[in-house]
Amino acid sequence: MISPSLFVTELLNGLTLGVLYLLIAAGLSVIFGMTDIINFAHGALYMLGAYLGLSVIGVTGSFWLALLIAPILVGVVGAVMERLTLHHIYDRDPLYHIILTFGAMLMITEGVKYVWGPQPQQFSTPAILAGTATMEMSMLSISYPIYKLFLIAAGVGVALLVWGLFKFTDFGLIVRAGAQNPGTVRLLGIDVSNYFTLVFALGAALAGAAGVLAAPFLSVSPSMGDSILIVAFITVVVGGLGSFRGSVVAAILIGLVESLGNLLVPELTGFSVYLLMIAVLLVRPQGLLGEYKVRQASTKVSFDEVIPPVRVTSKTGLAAIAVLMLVPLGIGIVWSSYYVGLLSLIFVWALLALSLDIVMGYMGLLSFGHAAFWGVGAYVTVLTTVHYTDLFPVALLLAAVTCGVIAWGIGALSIRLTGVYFAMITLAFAELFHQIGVTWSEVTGGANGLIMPIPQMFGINLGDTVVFYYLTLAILVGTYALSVRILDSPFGRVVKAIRESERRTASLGYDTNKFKRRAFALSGTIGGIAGSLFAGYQWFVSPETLHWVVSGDAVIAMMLGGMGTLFGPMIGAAVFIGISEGLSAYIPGWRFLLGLFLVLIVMFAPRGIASLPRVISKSTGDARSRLFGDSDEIDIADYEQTAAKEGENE
Amino acid sequence: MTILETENLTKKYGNLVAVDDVELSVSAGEIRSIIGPNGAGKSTLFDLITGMQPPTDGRIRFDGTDITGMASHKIAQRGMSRSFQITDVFGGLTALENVQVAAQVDDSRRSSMLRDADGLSEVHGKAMDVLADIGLDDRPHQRASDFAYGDRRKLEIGLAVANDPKLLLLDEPTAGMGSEDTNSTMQMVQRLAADRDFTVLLIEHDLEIVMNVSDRITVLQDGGVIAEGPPEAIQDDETVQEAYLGGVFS
Repeated sequence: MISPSLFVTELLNGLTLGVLYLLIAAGLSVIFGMTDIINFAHGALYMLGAYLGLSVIGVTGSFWLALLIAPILVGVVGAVMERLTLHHIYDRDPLYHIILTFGAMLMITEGVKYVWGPQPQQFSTPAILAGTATMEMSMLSISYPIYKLFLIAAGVGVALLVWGLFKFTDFGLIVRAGAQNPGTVRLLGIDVSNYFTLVFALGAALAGAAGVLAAPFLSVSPSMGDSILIVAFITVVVGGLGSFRGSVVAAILIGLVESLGNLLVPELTGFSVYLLMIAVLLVRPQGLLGEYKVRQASTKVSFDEVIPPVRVTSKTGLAAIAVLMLVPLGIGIVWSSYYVGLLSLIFVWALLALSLDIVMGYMGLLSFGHAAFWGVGAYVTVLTTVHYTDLFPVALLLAAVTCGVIAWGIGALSIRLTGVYFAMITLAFAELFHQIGVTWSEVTGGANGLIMPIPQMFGINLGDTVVFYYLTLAILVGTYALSVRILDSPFGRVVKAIRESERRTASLGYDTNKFKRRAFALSGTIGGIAGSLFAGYQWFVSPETLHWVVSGDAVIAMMLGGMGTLFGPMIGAAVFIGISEGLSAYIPGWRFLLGLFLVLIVMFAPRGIASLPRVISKSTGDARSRLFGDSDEIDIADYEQTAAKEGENE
Repeated sequence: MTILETENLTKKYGNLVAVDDVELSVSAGEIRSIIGPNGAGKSTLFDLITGMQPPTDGRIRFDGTDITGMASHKIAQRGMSRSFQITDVFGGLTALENVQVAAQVDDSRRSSMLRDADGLSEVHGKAMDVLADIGLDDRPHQRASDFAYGDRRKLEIGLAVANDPKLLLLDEPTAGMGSEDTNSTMQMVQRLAADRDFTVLLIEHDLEIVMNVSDRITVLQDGGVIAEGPPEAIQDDETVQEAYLGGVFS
């Protein structure tokens, strides 16, 4: 029996959480409303706010000054971030914006670790708000921290302030008009682009304020922004993208579901929020109060140039395979077996990046949840070999099928929602699996993970570095060849047509959702194979494999290499693993560089490494065409040679 | 035989009635034009018929079936095709690939993952025929986005005819074209309709063209039908002249 006092306490806890979510989601929603950008750096800005607050208190000793100054500083950081990067690429597809803000998130997180250190820090409650308030009534006897009551009041105050700002001021009017139609506002003589910066600063400042407010009752750590970002995404999805009222309702609802849910159904602790999201997606995909109307053009990915995948049977493809097949022969002579093992790891990551490219580069759907396939693939493999059979191929197959089915299911739930929605929802689903990996310890081993027997089949030891190398190489080449085939098939044509214009494809008579689900299932299957091989690589699995960092890394690898090319992401995976293995030992903040790299790629080379040969040959093209005449022919030949070289460098 | 029929077709956005109680009956084989001033509800009417928006009220029958509320791709599968006012072709695909995507929709292997898309010989042949019909067969492997505007407009129509429609809805096919291109495009539409034996529902602003190509004309104003008949009758209709033509023909 739950006592009324406990119930009311949990109700208040729910409200506290809800207000916090509201502050985060409000900033996200404000930025999205004006710019159509989902800011993946929002959680990092929130975390930065908490740390800046800590420092302001350290200098001035005043919580109130911190609450004033830290959000302003975060706002400035937001403005600078917008001015330097997003400001110049608003005309691009929003998926690039998402990836860019993801890079910014890495940079902010690493920057904070560098300045304040990676350990969690204490943020003391201001004296005036310390202690508890007690209330005694006939049936109720509650004592509740004053600070949390203050947080609820402050949150409501900030929300009202934002609402008033948009409703009653000229600034609000211009921003609302600009969100509807920037062109018209510009014609009225107002420089809208400055307002984009201001709105971004405002959203960032809101995140910063939330950070300072949350700091006294949550611990301050560099990862504090991660979980809250995901809840904020869920809030926005549940409330309806672009609806401020929706965000308010959803934030409070989620806060209550979380606290009361834990009280009433403790078995679902950690899952209730995800279940709420799934329920809303099933019943009202546009969100509780939202009308789903992301601008038509905003869900369209188009490339300036088509870079066809290098065929396995082409000279370049065969040469690359031949070189890679010879690599193990050099063990002990040219290099040690460590590098052969590293190459296997690269092949496994190449598979993951390839699987992501199929949905992102060819269908225009950005998945931020490929960690789910990577991790589930790994877990299924380990569990199968531990409990059922020591035949590794059986485990691999099972992992592939399981992930295909899971991807199909996620697709069935969320694929109706394109673009920005899809990125958020896949992230949330992956986090759900991460949660399962951590909590369901009887099966998954919890945070400790599971050890797997050395992979083998029919007496062949697949754990041997060289054998495993050839196994992964064979699977990679096979999967790549199959993917090239599939994207050239009637199915692949339709998938590409959907990327170019979903509306048009539907009007020709295609059930585009069906094609999208299938392509996502295909991608999930390949992701599962990659995860399975990863388990085979390290003979071990832990919830790390399900962490969103994996999804982010896969996106980085894909972008680095060049999306929409199939071979590009594989090169990207090689570079990515090379950087992480090479730099992580020497530079503690190497992820900062990774973030910077990602931002620069989005800004200046959106097609990544795969496009570099063309970019270079374009700039030297004049001289060449004078020498050889037909420049087009030479470009392609030159490009294939360079690709071959890159293959060798792997 | 009636191929398309609407009954009390109505679409409201809040208080605005965009399409108001429209009763339309189109016979198989005719070229029917829908004209009316800007904001008369022409494009919305197209969206309702093709299932891209659900009507607030009323029914739509196409080729003997009630298609009200059906998903747009299902309606398309039944033989209704449309072109868009703002060119919407697959810019990253070649002209041939564009038309192939449309032409393979009826093929049983349309969602096969393992075949070569270019290896479906009937689809390929059909697509090349369409390219020949729209005059782009000399550049089948050029990317759609690299074509000049007029050629992309032709490809827009090519896409819409390549899936063998019974009824083709053309939303201002000559939008933004000069008079020469306009004439040749309309001749092309007439020729395609005759050769490929489909019915045409046409939204067009150029009245001279409308008068030349249409079998019958429906005039919309404020979402409702104010007149319908053969071109001569519409030309002489006083309501139409007053309400819409503003004395152009008088």
